[in-house]
Amino acid sequence: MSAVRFPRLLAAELRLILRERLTWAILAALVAALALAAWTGAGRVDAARTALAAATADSERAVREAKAAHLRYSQPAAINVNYWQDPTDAFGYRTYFMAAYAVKPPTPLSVLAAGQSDVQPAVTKIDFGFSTVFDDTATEIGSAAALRLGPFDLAFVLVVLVPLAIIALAGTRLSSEHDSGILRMIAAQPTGPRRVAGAKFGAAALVALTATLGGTALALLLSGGLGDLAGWSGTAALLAAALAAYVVFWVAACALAASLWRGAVAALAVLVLAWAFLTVALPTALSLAVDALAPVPSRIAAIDASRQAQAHFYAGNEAAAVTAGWLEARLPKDARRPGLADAPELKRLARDAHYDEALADHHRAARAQALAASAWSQKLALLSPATALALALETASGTDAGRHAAFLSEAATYRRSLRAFFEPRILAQVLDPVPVCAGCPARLDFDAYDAVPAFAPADARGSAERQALLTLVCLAAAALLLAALAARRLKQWPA
Amino acid sequence: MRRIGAELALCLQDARLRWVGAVLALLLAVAGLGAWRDAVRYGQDVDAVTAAERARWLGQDAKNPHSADHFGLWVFKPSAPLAVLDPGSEPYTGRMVRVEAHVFNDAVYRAVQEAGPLARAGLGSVADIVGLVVPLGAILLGFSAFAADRERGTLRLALGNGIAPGRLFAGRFAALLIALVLVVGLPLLGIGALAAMSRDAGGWQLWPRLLAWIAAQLAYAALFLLVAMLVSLRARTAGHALAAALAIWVGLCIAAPRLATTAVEAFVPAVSYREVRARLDAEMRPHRTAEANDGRTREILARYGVSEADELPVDLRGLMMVENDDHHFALYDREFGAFFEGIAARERAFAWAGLLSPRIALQALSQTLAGTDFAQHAHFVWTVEAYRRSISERMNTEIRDRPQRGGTTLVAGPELWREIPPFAHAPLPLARALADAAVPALVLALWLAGVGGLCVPLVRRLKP
Amino acid sequence: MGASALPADASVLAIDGAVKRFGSRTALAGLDLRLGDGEVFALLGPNGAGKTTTINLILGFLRAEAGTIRVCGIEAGEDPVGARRHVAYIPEQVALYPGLSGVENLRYFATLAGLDPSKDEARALLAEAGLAPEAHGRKAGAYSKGMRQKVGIAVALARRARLLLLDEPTSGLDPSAAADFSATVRAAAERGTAVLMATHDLYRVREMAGRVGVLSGGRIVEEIDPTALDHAALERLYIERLAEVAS
Repeated sequence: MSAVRFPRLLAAELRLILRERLTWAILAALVAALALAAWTGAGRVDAARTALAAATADSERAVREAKAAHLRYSQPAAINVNYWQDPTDAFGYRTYFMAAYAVKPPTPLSVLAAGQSDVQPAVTKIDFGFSTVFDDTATEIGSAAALRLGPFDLAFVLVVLVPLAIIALAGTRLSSEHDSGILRMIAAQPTGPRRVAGAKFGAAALVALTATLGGTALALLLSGGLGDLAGWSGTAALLAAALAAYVVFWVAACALAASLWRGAVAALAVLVLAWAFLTVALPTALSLAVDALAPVPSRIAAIDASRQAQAHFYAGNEAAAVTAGWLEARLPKDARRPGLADAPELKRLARDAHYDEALADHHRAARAQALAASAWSQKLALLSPATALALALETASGTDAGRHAAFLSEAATYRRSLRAFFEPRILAQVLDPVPVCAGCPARLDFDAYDAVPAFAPADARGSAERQALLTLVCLAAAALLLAALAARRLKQWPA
Repeated sequence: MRRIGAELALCLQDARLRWVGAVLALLLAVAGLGAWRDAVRYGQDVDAVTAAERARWLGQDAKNPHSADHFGLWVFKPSAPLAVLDPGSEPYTGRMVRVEAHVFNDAVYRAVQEAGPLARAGLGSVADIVGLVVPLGAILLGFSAFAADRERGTLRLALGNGIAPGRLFAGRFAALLIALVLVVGLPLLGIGALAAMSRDAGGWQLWPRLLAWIAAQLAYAALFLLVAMLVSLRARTAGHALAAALAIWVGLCIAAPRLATTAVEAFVPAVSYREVRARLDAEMRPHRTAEANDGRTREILARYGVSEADELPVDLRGLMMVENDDHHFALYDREFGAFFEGIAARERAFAWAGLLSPRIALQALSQTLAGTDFAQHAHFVWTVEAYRRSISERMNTEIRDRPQRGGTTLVAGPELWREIPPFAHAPLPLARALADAAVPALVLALWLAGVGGLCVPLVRRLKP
Repeated sequence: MGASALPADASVLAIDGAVKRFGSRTALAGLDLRLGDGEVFALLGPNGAGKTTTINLILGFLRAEAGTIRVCGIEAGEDPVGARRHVAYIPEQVALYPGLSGVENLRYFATLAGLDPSKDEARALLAEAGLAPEAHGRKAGAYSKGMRQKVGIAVALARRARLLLLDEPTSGLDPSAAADFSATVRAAAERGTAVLMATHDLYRVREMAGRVGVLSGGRIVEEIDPTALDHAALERLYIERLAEVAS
């Protein structure tokens, strides 16, 4: 048998598979699912962009209104402007008026996976209020039933439904021929089982690959959810290759199941159970492992610590003592003067620093846990092809837990940078409270609205590309391993 | 009865039942005991921190009541005892609320935030296992009921010798159902009893809840048993029956639930929480300006016909805080009321979406009976808000009714703090849960009736 | 008892001392068989005599523990694909893809054999195998057993196989279809194809086979010239041989 004939055999198998009505039904269902998932993904990306735009608009509105207030209060007037009503004062603006946001913008491939986006908001307002115990206080309440069931996103279709479609398409190749007796006819021809299986599963793989990759591309184009891929085409190509490897993995699994020669039903049962194990049971076990490897520190203990700090601060003369201590660390001796520790602004700054110090260990533990959990998840996810692909899709979408943990850290850093920006200004104003304008109702000591640091989101591209590459390597290895096992078992026709 | 006994004896000898039973018992035990351990730990933590918060509230120094209002406290949502079986909405909703002056704070720190990326869509809870694995078990037990006999030719023999197909079906179904009750119902009852006996279940009417909950799970299991037998009535071979039943399982338990998410989101639009918050901010902003404050001050002075605050029979700041809070309360009631109603509408839509898949109907029914549905969460949120308002109102009226002259500030002490009772949260009663459960229960009953109804003509015209 | 006088290298099929065991059960205990071009050999034997094992060995699905099985000089155990190049096999139940027509099934199996007959060539082959032209384009799912066997014959014709293996070819066929099939096999033999058939059907054996071997206990216990006996005598002889072996 010359190798030239294999393509002809493959073509015959392709004709055979494409002649089946079931094939077209499966492909139609798959493409419809992909289109629907891309559409919901596009809606989600749209909502994320709207939230981002709203945050930007709100920041601009705060600056605009503060500038207007600055202008309005620059003339003598009879009204009384308290510090919490005064956007022309550094402390007042920072604490009550500024609308500063840390944002996690969608990536150009965000349409692919909802990931953690439905439980971890991508926009968090930086606030200097009472409630900030943790970095991840921002919450977006939604339908719990929907969260429980999960979104119908592309990741779901590609990771969960595509294997099922492949099992429906290729799961009974050879084994149904075995059941019906056609296999005896096939086996009697001068050709070995590897060639026939190669052609049969090769044809199934070609159909599945075309439908999955083509369907996904088409769905993405039609949905309009794809962003500008400049700089991301490498990641997109790696993801496409990883997806192809995932498809081949499942086709190879079908070939391996067929090589058991136990008939179509046994093959189907084995495949569906393997699918349930890899996509449902194993991820659950891996998640339990992550819980054990990176245990979650107690939120309640941290809240208790924050309240202890608060109760401590407000007990007796602690507030004055803490504020004095805070001032000591910041002011040269000659700049200090009596009564300074009573200034409400300084008391507030000292109090916040006191809280931060009391919670520092808890914060560190929470951040370390988030990073450790995401790092372990990244490693363990590679143990199941399903979680490996899901993680690659989520990382490319920028909706993975790792990016969110990093985002929360960046938001905390941003908060510190805002504090560093405002503190000297607030301190200077309290030290030297000279009215800028006699008779004006407001303090007018702050107008550097445009100089307030803005949040610079980190680039998600590097990690996305790395994860896609890692997933591709793992999936390709898994697919090759299964294919090799199947080929080994398919040395001989069953008697 | 004799027939059922004979069928049951056959069933009990089958290795399949032992395997299905062992796997289910293991999964349920691991998930149930893990959840029970977490629940006990969380309950202890909540009790300890709640006592500490109460002590901190009562132990405040003498201070202005408004400062005490700002000092506030944290309250914690008690987990429903049956959350061990079905956590329902609990992992997806906040557990802790900072109660403080002026602000309707979110319930924060949802368990799902900490759950890690691999935990979603898994088999994390007993309810997940019932929703996904129990149907598989029922299918594995029921798929061969008729198809295997047909394949062997024994069905032809049985029918040819005058055995009535209806009695054959009823006997087999009853036997398999009893087997299923043994392997599903007993472990659930065990875990539920453990949860019921080891936790304080005041106000939960726990045993009727538990029994109703288990009945719902068994109805769901019976439905998939019927599905498997329905397929078996038609299929030529046991293999075809298994393949068809597995395909139905994938459709109903895997694909349809997520499709329902998309459908409900498309057909029952809801405003986002972010928009609600933004709208509230936008409404409150003009109210907070110095000019608005000045206007309100002048309005109050005019209302009382005086020109100085010290001439008022009440404390100006206290009165303004009362009125300010009233304004905010009305806004919160309107905006959050509409928002929570929107979510409730979505949750109701999910109950109807159970028509797409019994797994969705079971989810809605199960969490309502377990007391872990969104209504319970909303009830908690509003109870906390009522508590917050009661504190603010008491502190504000204390200031308002004790006018201070010449710029001095009122100082209150522990007697006032003690007037605020500890936070108490009673769950929504079982009667309310039963009313909320009507739609999903009806939908599940429709599924049972539908599949049972499809079986009837097939049984009557059973082909050998 | 010598199975054939043909030398090994001149035989289309040459089986020498083939032994095959399944666990403790011996399926073939030193089978010898020679078959030349145009010969029709019927293996007669009860269930479990080793008929199907013999066919599986020739097709290379099984390997003999001792002895050799050569098809056109190729050792089937060592080069099953090479051996099968010369063999066409028609199982007891010819199973075809039910969604494909006769023409499409024929073309598919021909492709597996490395051939590429056109539609017209496929129709001609089907007609030669005796399948009525109006059935050529119909889905094979609606074919009777006889029609499916004719497609099997057509595949053999397309492949110009030198050896045709038939496993219980006439069981389940109505008398007219069986007669039809006999004629088709005889025609193939006349074209020079060697035919080995495993069967119980003494009546058709007389009609088709030039030589008959009674297979029992894993070896050929007697070779009979069926033309020398009438049907009743053949049946008597067959039962006697089996009884001798059993005792």
